[in-house]
Amino acid sequence: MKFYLSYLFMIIILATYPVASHAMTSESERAPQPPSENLMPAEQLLQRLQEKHNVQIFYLPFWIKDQFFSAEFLDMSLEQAVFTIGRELDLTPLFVDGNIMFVPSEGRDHRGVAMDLDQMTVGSPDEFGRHSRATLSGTIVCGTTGELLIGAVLYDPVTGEGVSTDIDGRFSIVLPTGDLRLRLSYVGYEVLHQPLTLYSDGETTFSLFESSVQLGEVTVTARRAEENISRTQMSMINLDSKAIEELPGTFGERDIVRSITLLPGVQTVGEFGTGFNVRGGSADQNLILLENVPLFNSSHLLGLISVVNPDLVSNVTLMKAGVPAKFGERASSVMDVRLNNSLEQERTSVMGGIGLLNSRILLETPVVKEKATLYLGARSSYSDFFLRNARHEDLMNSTASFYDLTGTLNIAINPRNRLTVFGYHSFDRFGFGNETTHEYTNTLASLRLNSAISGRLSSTLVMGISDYRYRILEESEIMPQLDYYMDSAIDYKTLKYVLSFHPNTLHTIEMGVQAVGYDIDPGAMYPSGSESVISSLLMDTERGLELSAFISDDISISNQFSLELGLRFTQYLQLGAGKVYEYAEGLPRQREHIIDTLFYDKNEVISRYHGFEPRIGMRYSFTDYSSWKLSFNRHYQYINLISNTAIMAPADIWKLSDTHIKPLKSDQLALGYFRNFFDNSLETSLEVYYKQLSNVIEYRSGAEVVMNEFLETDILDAEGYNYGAELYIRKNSGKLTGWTSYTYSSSQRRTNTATPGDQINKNAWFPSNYDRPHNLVVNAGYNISRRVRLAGTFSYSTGRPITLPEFTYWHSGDLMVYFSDRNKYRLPDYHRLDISISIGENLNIRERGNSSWTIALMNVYGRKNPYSVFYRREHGTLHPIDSFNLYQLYIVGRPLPTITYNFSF
Amino acid sequence: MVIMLQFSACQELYDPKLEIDKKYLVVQGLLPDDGPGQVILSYASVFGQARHRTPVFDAIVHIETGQGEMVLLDGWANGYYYTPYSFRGKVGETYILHVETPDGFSYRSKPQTIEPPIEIASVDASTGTDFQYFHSHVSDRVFQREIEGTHVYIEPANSPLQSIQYRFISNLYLQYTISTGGGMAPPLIDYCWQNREITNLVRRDVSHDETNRLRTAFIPRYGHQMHHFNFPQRDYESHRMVILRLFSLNKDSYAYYMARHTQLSDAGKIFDPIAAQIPGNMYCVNDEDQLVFGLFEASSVTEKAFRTYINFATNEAMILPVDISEPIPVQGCLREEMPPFWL
Repeated sequence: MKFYLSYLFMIIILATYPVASHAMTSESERAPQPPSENLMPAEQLLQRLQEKHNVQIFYLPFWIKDQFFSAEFLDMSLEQAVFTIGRELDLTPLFVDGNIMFVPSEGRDHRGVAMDLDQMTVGSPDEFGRHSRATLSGTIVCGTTGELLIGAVLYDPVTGEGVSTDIDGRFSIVLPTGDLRLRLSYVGYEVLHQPLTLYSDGETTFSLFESSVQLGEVTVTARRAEENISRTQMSMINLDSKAIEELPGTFGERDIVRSITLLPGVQTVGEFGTGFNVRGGSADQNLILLENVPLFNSSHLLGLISVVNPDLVSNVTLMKAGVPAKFGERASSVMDVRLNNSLEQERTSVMGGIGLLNSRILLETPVVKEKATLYLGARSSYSDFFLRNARHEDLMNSTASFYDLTGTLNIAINPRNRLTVFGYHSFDRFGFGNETTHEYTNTLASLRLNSAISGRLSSTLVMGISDYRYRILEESEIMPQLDYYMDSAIDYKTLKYVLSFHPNTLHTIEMGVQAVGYDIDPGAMYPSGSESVISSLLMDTERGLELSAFISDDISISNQFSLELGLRFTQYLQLGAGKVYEYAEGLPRQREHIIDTLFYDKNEVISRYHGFEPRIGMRYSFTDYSSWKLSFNRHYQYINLISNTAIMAPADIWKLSDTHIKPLKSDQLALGYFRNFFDNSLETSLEVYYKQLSNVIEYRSGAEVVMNEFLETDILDAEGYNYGAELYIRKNSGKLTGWTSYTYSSSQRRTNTATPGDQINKNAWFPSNYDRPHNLVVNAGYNISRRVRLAGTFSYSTGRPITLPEFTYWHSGDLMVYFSDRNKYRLPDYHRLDISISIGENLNIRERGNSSWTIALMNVYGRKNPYSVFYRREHGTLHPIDSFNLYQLYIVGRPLPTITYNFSF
Repeated sequence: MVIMLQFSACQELYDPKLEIDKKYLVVQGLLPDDGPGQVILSYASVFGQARHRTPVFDAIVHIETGQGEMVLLDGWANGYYYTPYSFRGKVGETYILHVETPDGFSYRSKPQTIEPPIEIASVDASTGTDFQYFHSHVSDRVFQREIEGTHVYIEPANSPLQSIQYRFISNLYLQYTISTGGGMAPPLIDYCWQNREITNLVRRDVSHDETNRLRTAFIPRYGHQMHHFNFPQRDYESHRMVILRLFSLNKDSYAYYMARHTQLSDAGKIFDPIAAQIPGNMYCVNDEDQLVFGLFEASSVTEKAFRTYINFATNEAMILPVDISEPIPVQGCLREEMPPFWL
C-alpha cells in the first residue's frame, strides 16, 4: 500500500512539475538566505549529483526550496547521498530505470497543486448577497501550454450542475453564489477540485494539468473524466495534443488523417489513398476543417501522408453523427482540426524531425509576452533528390515531392477578445516516367475573433478562404506537338458568425449565420510549348452561394437526461454565367437527347435549392459511468467530388449542384450505449446507425469526368443506405494503453429509374465502393520505461467491392471485355501489422535541447494489400491487342523499416 | 524513398479466381446497305482462360425485315453466317436479328434502323508524326517509336437538323510491281497489291458530328517503315491509297462503339476507373438471365478512296480522290496483267 501511494504521489509530482517550475521562477526572485561556505543549495547539490553519477533526479522544486546541504554529500555514494537528503527533506528516493525520483514520505501532505491553490473569487464582492445565483463563464486551459481545452467538464457536486467547454474552450454555467468547490476534469488531465467564491456574474480561467506519464513499474489508475458518458453528443472522437502524440505513426511519423482511419466507422478505399470514408460515405462527404476552413485535398503524395502538419495540431474532433447545427456543408462527418492557440509561450523554441518521407520544423515564439504568439511550421520532402539519382530509368524520370507551410498568430486583443490569424499553403508534384505530371496546391487562410460579450454571451466570427488548384502536364520529348496542360480549381470563401448564449444552467444556446461562396473552374486545357498543336479548350466556370442560419440548444434537463435540439436552414443558389442543356423527358440523359440550351447571365440564378436540417441529440445516464444516447441528423450537400475511379484521385473534379445534379440529402439515426469501467480508465461504447441517402451520385458505365461539357450525361441519380454497429474499447491508463474497435457495416446503392440506359445492375441494390462489412483495429502501446514505448497496430477489414472482368470476346478484330455487375466481387481482405518503438525525450527539463527517435516497421509480415486492380492490354506482334491481364497494385508490399529523428531546443 | 523505389515493382498479376461455368454467345453482325449481311457467332471465354475465338456452328440465323420477311443466313465455316449475296439493307428500314443456337437458346436483337449515309464535306491530309508501339521478341518488351507519315482527315457534312454518329474502317492499299525473268528471257512484270485494315493505327474509329475533323488514317512516309504496319517492304512500291468506309450509326450502334473505345482506352489505368461496360443490343428470348454479348449493326455505308503521296519538294501531303468500282482483294499478284483497280 505504501509502495502504491508513493507511486501515486510520483504521478502528482510529474503532473505538477511544470507548475512547480513556474512557481520556482517567481520564488527565486526572492533572494534566499546566503549559505555558509560549506553549504550549497539543495538544487545545486542534486544537479551536481546528476552530473557526477550520470543519472536524472526528479523532484518538485518547492520541496527543496531554501534547503542547503553540505558539499560533502558529493563524496558519498549516490545511494547514501540521496537517502540522506531524502531523510532530511521527508522524501523517499525511488530508483526507477536507473533514475531517481523523490516522492513524499508517507504522512506528509502532498496532495498536489489542487491543494495548494488559493481560493478563487469571481464577481464583485460588493454585489455579494444581491443574487442567489450568478453566471460563471470563462475558459479551461492546459496549465502547461495554455491551450484551450475542448470538452473539459466543470461540475458542482453540491448542486449536481455541470457544463463542458465548447469547441473554443469556453463554458458558461449558472451556479449558486457563495463558496463552491468545483470539480474540473478533462481527458488525460488531473482532476482539479477548485475552491471558488462566486459573488456575481464573472469570468475566470481554470488551468488543468496533464496526468503524469506512465511509469515503468506501476499501474496508475487515472481519474479520467467521464466526458464520453456525460456529454449529449455521440459518435464524436476528440483527440487533444497529448492523445495525438500517442497516435500510431505512418512511415514513422504521426499523421492525423491516417490515424483517424483507425477509429471505428472510418475507413479508406485503398491502403493509402486520398481522403477517408465515414460510415459508408464517400470522401467528399467529409468536411475537413483546418482552423475553420475546409481542405479540398487532405493528402500529400497520393495519400501517403496527410497535408496537416501534426506538430501544430492541438486538437482534432471527428463528428460522425450528432453534428451540431453550426456545422453543415457535407453529409457524412466533420473533422475539426485546431492548431496551437496558446499565449503562454515564454521563449522561442524550435522543434523538428527528420523522417523517411520528409523533414519538418516548427518555430514557436512569443511576439508580445502573453499577448501574441506566433507558430510557424514547414515540411518538405526530398524524394526528388533520390529519384534523380536512381538507377532505374523510369524512376529517374519520375518526380514526387511536396512541401507545406503553416502559420498561426494568436493575439489577445484584450481579456475579452482574442484573434487568431491562420495561413497555410501546400504544393504537391508527382509523375511517373517522363510524360504526365500532376501538381496541386492547397492555400488556406482564416481570421477568427472570439469575443466574450458578457458572462452569458460570447461570439465567434470567422472569415476564411480555401483555394485548391490542380494541374496535369502532359509533356513528351519526342512528341512536343501534343504537349498540353490542364488546370482546374476551386475557390471557397466563408463568413460565419456564431453567438453562444447561456441564459441559465439548463440551456446552452448557439445561433448564427454562415455564407459560403464557391467558384469552380472545372477545367481548361492549353497547349504547352511552342510546338504544341493542341487547341485550347475551356470549360464553363461554376459559381454557387450557400447561405445558412442555425440555432441549437443544449438542454440539461437533469443530471440524468439532456437534450440537444438544433435546426439549420440552408439556401443554395447556383449562379451564372452559364448554360444549361435541357434533355427530352422520358429518355436517357444523353447528348443526343438535348432539346434546348438555356443561357444565363453573370450572377443570374440558374437553380436554387433549400432545406431544413434538424439535429436532435439525447442522453440518458443510468449512472455516472453509463449512458444511452440517441441522435438524428439531416444534412444537405451542395458540392460533390466527381470521380470515375474507385480510389479518390487528385485529378477528380469538384462540381456544384445544378439543374440536373440535385443536392445530396443524408438522414442519419444513431443509437449508442456508453459504459466506462474501473473509474473511467476503461472506456467502452456500442453504437448503431442507419443512414438514408438521396440524390447520390453514381456513374454511367465508362463515365468520362475530365473536360466533359456534358458531365450530367455520365452521372446517374442513385439512392443509398448505410448501416452499421461499432464496438469500441479503449484503455486510457497503465503501462498498456490503446484501443480495439470492431465495426460491422453495410453501404448499398441503387439507381431507381425506369429508363434502362440509366440503370446500374438493373436497379438492384449493390455495395458501394466503401462497403467493407468487417473492420477490426487493435492498437496498443506499452511503456517499457518512461522514455521507451513499444507500440503496434493491427488492422483488418473485408476487401472492398470491385467490378472485375468476367469474360473476353472478339469483336471487330479486338479482344473486348465483359465486366461483372457493378461491384459484384471483392478484393482480398486487407490486414496489416505495424510496430514501432519510440525512445522519448530526455525527461530532465533543465536540458535545453532534446531529441527522440522512432523506429518503426510497417507491414511486418509483408502482406500485399492491393491498392487497386486494373487490367492491361498485352501487346502482340501482329496486332495491337492480343490479350488482357489483370494486375494488382500495392503500395507497401513488403516489410518497410523507417526511422525518424525528432529534436527540439 | 523506399516507397518510391518500390513503386515501379509493386504491380503483379492478379488472379481473381473466377469460377464461372457459363457459356455466353457473342454476336458480331453487320447488315450494310452496300453488300450482303454477315453474322459471326462465337462463345465468350472466361477472363484469362483463352485467347482464341470459339466459333458457334449449326446455329439458325435469320434477319427479319421491316415487312416481316425472314431472311435465312447460310452458315459457313468458322461461325460465319451470310445473307444471300443480293440481299442489302435499306436506309430507313428496321431489321431484327434472330439466332437459335444448338444449346437451345434463342436470341433476338432490338429493332435496328439504318440511318442515312454520311456525306463527306472534305478530306485533307498533312505530314506529321505518330507514336506506334512495337513488340520485341528479343526482349519481350514493348517499344514506343515515332513514325513520320501522312495523317488523313475527313470532315462529314454537318446537318444542323441531324445528329450524325458514325464510325469508319480505313484500309491502306499498296501496289507494287516485281520484275522477273532476265538473262535471255524477256522480263515479266508481276502486278501485286496489299489491301489491309489500318483502323487501329489511329486509335479512335467512332465519332459524333461535333468532332468535325476526324483523323481516319496514318500512312508511314518511308517504305522501310511499312513492315511495322504489317505490310511487307517492297522496293518497287508505286502507289498508296486509303479506302475509307464510313458507317452511319444508329443509337444502339453508336453507344456500343463509344463504350468499346472507352474500354480500350481504360486499359492500364491504375485508379480503378468505373468499368466501361459495352452495351449490346441482343438479348436472350427464352432465358433472361442468359447473357449475350456483341452487336447486330445495321448501317448505311459511304465508301471513299484517296490516293496519298508526299511532295518531297515542299514536304506537303497530297490527297486525290479515286474512283474504285471493283472490290479489291486482300492481296495478290497478276503476271503481265494489270488488275482492274490498278492505279
